[in-house]
Amino acid sequence: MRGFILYLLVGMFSVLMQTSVFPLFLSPGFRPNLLLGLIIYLGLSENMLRAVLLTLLLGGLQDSFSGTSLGLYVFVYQVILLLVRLLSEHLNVESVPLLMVLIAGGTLLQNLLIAICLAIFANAGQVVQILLPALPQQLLANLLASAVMLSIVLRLQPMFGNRAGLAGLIYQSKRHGA
Amino acid sequence: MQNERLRKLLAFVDDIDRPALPAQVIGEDASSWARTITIDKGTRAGVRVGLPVAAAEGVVGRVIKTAANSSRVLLVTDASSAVAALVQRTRTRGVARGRGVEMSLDYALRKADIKQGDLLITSGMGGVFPKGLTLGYVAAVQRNEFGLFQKVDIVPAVDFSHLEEVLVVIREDR
Repeated sequence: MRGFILYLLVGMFSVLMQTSVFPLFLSPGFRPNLLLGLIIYLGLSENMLRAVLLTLLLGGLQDSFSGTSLGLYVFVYQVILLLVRLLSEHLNVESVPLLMVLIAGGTLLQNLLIAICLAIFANAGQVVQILLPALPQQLLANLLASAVMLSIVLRLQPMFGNRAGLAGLIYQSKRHGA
Repeated sequence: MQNERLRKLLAFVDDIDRPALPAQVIGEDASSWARTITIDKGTRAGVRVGLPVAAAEGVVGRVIKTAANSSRVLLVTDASSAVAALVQRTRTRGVARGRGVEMSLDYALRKADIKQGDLLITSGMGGVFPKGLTLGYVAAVQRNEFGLFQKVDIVPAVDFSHLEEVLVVIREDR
């Protein structure tokens, strides 16, 4: 339960950063999506039920501070979570570069899903023209933010002995008893 | 600098001839594609869904969600925003749609006289914004040989990246 609440607090902090701190310094395209990294981390390190519940809550949190379509990010993050979980069984997910590739893939998939959902279900025809030009900046911002966060996590790891190791390692050891 | 901004805002309140509630911008959208802001006034201050929001330079957007002490405002540059507009010089009508950073004027007839630099104002036809508020300026006009309408690019009058204080325009039926 403590871990569950901790993830929620980290999610709230991320949303606070995205809505009130990053806009002071960064243009909309260059603002990193911190929640995406958290969702990918959940997909790699937490059990399925907890990850799904947290993704529902974090997606709802992002929805309440983004756009006008409630439920959009809940759906998008659930799809990303499921794909990360499926992929993690076939990839060497303890590799840092691979985690960065997952972030890049997650960013592209997130934008693709948002574009498809809004084009089909919402009256926001121009949204694709907004998303596409901002995609390279978004990708760069997410990768930079993830690199910074990963380096912080790796430095803090010695303080949390039983959780040492990257997300993928924790996940693999839980699943396969390694 | 803040005094200057507030002075402009007060002058604008006198101009619009309607009660207006000043509010501060306390947050922006958490996504990269939607254009909304959060202001520090909510239902306790009398803010309701649908009320227009403006700054001294022109139209900002309209309230889409309210809480007790805060509200979300959909900016006119959001892709789902559409405002009934007219070109001030020629009274040509159209619909100003958001395109992220800029806007476009849709449904402006191809033969209508629109030039670069023309001022675009609200027409008051949509029932949300009062007539005569500044929306932006015509940045480019493109007329094809065929088709009913011309393509008009609009630069918003308000600099949304530096927006700090806004006015929620209260309707008379309050």
